[in-house]
Amino acid sequence: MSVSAIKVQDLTVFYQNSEVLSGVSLEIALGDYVGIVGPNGSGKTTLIKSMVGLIEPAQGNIEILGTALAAFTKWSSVGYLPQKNNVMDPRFPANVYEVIASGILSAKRFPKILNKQDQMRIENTLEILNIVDLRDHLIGRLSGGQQQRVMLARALVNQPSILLLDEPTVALDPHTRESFYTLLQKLNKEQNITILLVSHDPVTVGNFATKLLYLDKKVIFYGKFGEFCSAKNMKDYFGLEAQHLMCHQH
Amino acid sequence: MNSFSSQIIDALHYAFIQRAILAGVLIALCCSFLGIFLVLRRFSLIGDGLAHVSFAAIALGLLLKQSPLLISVPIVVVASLLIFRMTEKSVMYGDAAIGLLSAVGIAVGVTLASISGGFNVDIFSYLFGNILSISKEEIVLTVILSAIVIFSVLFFYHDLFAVSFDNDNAKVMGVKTSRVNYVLLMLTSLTVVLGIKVVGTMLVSSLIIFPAVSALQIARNFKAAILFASILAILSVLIGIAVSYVFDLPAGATIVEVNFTFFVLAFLARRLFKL
Repeated sequence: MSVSAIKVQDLTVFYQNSEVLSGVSLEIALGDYVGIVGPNGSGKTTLIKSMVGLIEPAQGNIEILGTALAAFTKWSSVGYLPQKNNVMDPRFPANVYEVIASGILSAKRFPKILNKQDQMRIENTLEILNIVDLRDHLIGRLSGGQQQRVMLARALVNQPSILLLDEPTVALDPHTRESFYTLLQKLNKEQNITILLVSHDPVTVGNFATKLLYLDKKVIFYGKFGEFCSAKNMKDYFGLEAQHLMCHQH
Repeated sequence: MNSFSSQIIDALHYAFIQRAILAGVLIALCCSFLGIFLVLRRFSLIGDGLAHVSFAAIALGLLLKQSPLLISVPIVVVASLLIFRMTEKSVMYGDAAIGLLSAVGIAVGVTLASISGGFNVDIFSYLFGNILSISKEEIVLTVILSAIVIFSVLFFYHDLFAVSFDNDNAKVMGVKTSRVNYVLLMLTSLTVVLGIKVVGTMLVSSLIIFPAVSALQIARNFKAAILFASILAILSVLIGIAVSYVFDLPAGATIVEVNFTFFVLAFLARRLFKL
């Protein structure tokens, strides 16, 4: 039996006495590209944060790569890009190279030193994300799009098998957003990286993801896009036009 | 100028000046190393709060006729843990917790000083520092504690960087963030106690904040920020000791004023050279 990338069973999370997630169960296979959509306050960010251990659930189990979350230690296999609420502190004195290197060094045991292989991985990641020219720039002085590429580079530098992205394109202009999604699709297809992408924009998710998770405190729909397109009740959530648009573009 | 330099060269022969320089350089290194992380984590004022707590500990030490610095170490460490726990458990905001313990520290210190016969020369030397009077025993304590702080910062450097950059992401990347935060507070507690001898409880936070904020004006990467902060902190202490010796000024206050001058220069350099 093959190991799932992430398995969630009966997950319930409370925030200040109100239920944010209720009995959520789902299984994400290795190599899936899952778009997570839902209205504001539907628990999308809570689900992602629970998966990486930043939020303690009231009930339920989470497994990452076949290991219970509490016992999971191989965090270099997981890349996480949190929601970007505000612009990075322009005074933070780290350059792009240092930020990406911290992705490797944080996962290392002592002594935390970059070896030649690590340095090559950083160079490769800089190239993949097309940010070689930015390596000595201060992270806080970059544009929103450039910063997001650097943060993605840090999440990717350990060559993770799972990538969790929480609204990664909020600060980006439409053109940068498009190229960012294209890059994710390439990573998913060429490197078989499992991607979970939280988005406010179901149409964009429809363009790139292979599966859709519609969340509204509980799982409303989780499955392939083909199934979603034939599910009649989905128009109640998205509106008929949006559902058609997503299905047509996919 | 010749007179100034000859007086400095003469002064270097005195054992008390040699002790002041050794202690000052070590404490400057500790403060600058930690200062960068504390400033970036918006924890700058914890030095101020812990220094006020240490005032109570010093008053207790003087009352009990024990080494005030030795008594301060455990009390300040416990206070730093209290601040962190209150913040972490969302009992109250971090600045409120610092303000609360700071006020209690001063109040208890004043009460204990009053019980032990009021404010005397000893209390004043801890309030405003007197590095030129540092004893051999205090030098030994300074060397040991400074070595602990410096080696710990070097050991946890990458974890401290990750936590300062983004605490949540650091946790996901496998950094034991709680442990790193506790280590940072422990080291800050030790450094605050050490800094009291240099500039006193009233000014010790300036030793932590000034070199860091000056370095942040001009550094183009993280290692450079640490290096600049260390150089500026050491220069401030050395120039401060020299000026205070030659012109018979209080050493602690002079060191802070030199630090402020460096900050102004770094600020202007950033503006003028568009760093």
